[in-house]
Amino acid sequence: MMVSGTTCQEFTENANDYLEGEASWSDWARIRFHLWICPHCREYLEQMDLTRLLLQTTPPQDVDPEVKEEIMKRFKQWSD
Amino acid sequence: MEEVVQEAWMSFLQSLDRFEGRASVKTWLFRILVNRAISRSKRENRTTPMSALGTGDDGPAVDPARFANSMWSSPPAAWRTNPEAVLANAQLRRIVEEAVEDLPPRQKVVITLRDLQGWSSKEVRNVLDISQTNQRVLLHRARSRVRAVLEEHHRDDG
Repeated sequence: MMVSGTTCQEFTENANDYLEGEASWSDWARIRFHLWICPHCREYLEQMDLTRLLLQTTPPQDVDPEVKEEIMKRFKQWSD
Repeated sequence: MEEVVQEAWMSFLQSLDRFEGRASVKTWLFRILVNRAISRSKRENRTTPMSALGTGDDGPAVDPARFANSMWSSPPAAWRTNPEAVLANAQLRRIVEEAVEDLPPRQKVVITLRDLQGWSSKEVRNVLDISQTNQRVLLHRARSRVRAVLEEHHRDDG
C-alpha cells in the first residue's frame, strides 16, 4: 500500500525505531498513516512488540564452562 | 584457592544488578560478551577475532521475496496465541535464546545488553563506542531476526 511514500517493505525496516520511539516526526506520521490502512503491517508491528517483550523478560544466560574459565582468568588479573 | 575465586566470581555476578552506572564494570562485562562471541565463532571455524565482529550485519528485516512492489505478497500470519500465552511459553523462550545465540556477533552483543541485560541505548553506545545510528541499526536487525525465527516456529506449529 503505497501511500505518502511509505511501503510495507519500508515499514518493516522502520518498525523497531517506531517501537523504540526513535522515528523522526515525519517518519512517525507516515508510519501511523500506513498502520491505519495496512492490517498486515499492524500484525507485523504486534509481532515485533511481542518479540521485544520476550527478549526483555528472558533472563541472561549462564556462561558455558569454556567461557567461565576465560572469565576466571580475567578475574584473577583484574583483582591483582 | 580456585574455589575462593569462584565464589567471589559468583557473588560478584549476583550483585551485578546493583552496579549501576559503573562504567568499568560494564566495560568488563562487555569484554566477557565479546570473548564469548569470539570463542563461539572460532568453534564454528568462522573468521577469527575482531574481524568476526564486523561482519554479518547487513540484510533486510524481512525476506524481499515476501513483497511484490514493496507490498506484502506473503504477509505475516497472525500468531494464534495471545500475548500472555506467548510470554508464559517456555519453548518460545528457548527459541528466543537460540535465535540470539545465532546472531552475528555485533548484533548479539547489542541485543544482549539492551534487552536481556536491560541497558539503556546510551549505556550501550558508550561502552561499545558506537554511534546512535549504529546502535539503532544493530538492535533493529537483531530483533527483526529474532522475530523471523519466531514466525518460522509459529508457521511450523500451525
